[in-house]
Amino acid sequence: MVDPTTNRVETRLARDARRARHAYLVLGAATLTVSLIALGVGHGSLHDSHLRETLLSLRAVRVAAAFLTGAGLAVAGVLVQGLFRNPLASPSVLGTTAGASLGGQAALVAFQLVLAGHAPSLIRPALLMPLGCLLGSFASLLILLAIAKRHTDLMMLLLVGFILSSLLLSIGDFIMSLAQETWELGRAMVSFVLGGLGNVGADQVLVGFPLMLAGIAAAFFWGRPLDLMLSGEEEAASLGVDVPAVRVWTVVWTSVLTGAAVSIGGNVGFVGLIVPHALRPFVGVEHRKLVPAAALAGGAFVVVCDVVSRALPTRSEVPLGVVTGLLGAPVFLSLLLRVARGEEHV
Amino acid sequence: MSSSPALLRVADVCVHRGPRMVVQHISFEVERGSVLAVLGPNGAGKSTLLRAVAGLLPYSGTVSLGDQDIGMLPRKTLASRIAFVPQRSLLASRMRVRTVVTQGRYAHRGRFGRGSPTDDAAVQHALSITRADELADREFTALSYGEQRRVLLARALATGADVLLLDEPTASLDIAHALSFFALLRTLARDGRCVVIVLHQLDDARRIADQGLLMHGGRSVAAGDMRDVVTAKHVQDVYAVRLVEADALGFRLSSEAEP
Repeated sequence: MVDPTTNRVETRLARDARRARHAYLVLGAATLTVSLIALGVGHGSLHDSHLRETLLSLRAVRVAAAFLTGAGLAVAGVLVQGLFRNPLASPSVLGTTAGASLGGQAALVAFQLVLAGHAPSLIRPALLMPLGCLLGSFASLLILLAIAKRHTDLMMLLLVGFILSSLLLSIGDFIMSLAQETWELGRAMVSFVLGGLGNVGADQVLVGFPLMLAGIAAAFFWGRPLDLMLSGEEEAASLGVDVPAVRVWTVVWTSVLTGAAVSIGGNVGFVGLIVPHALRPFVGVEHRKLVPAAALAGGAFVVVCDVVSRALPTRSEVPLGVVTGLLGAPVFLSLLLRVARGEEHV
Repeated sequence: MSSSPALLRVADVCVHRGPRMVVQHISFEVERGSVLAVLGPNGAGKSTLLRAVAGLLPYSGTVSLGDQDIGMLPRKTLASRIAFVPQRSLLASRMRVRTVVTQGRYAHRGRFGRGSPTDDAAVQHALSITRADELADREFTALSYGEQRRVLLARALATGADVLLLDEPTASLDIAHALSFFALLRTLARDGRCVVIVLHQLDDARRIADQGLLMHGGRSVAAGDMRDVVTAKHVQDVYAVRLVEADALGFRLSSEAEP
């Protein structure tokens, strides 16, 4: 028996699926294209056969770093928007990147102490930075959750995030001014805090890559329970979701993704906000469709921002965070207005 | 399935909120095919009791399905036995209605499982019995409040649970929608489910439920057959409102002119 209603529904769902497939194809092609363009842009000419190989490998590291930073932040954005049921949440808005950044600064201090022989090194120095960022983002998310648990209001969460972010950045600035007493440490800290991929090394990418991959896979893994969490924790639990587990693991993996991203690219804002929002009309609101798309789109977006930061006619490179901030802040404002009018949903 | 006649058995359930005991020693039983209305003024502990029975709040006492204590059941098993629909859902997503209703199969499908024919059939049945099939391809946020209520009920039915717990499902529905909702609930009960429903309107309760539980200050004031629960005396005690018997259908408020 052909039920006309069912038939129509299948067509509509099939259309959604086709649209999502097209979006994936476009995203894949876009990622490839911007990566190739990014390899070709920068100081030094690729026509010089002696320099070509060196330049290309340096730029490849930089493109990979940009892609990982963007992918991590965008997927972290998907996770926190789902967890808090808030289309305005993102690691930078909630103070998670600020926490990671502060953790990174602490790691730089620890690194300096280890180098100077004042402290024993328990782990390899190359791992100190990602670990510091990860712990920083984890701690800031825990503080946010502790406060937001009582106040589930949309705007309250953003305000708490804003205050937390300001506080963590102030502490970071304080550490930075103390760090100026040592020249190397001061320089390293300024360059880290401004955010940018100018000094990124292959080892950072190698440490960040498995973390990102694990984080993106985990975000996909928790996708279906997070879809149910959009109805609120109580309804999700009544439908069989282990809510405490979802909450804990979402926070853990958001911290891993944000921490790894910040340890590579520094404090880069708004990626986690813009990317999921831009993708929902094309791939839908379900997390398992959104997560891979966000990884691709976030990666490509930051690669483009990095190219812009290199190509702008300024004496020194414009920090990456400045470029994403210039683009992100107006988008955030327009989203805020749409949310206030009830037009924007997770 | 248990041989005992009562499907849902609640025995001596207490719920604490901080130092306060907001539900105190509540016991009742609901059989298959039966509708139990939980009544009482605001703050009587009705919704809290419902959440405890759904296993969503810590409680003392026993809630059992047949002869199984629900405290012993894993989350997913419980979700496929007891369905709960809160008064206000927080869902505000542009998900398609069919996707929302399919969420009711989470306990059966798990994280990655694709829908089996059983899942599809359960979703389709839930959609058609609630007359939500015509909404299936719409976005949830594009629906009216009444339509959203129907979709959330469909999601609860898709779980396949035989116990339905509904918290004021008809609040802010107009009379036509409310009546058709009640008719639907009666059908669901007749199909062998047991329905527990928190209600504010005593008339509604008399219309739909065969059993009642009247609560006040967390305690049970009266329980049992609906006619014995909603009496002028109980209503006077609990709501401090005088009711007079109006007709076979229910009550009307007494006017000042009457003695």
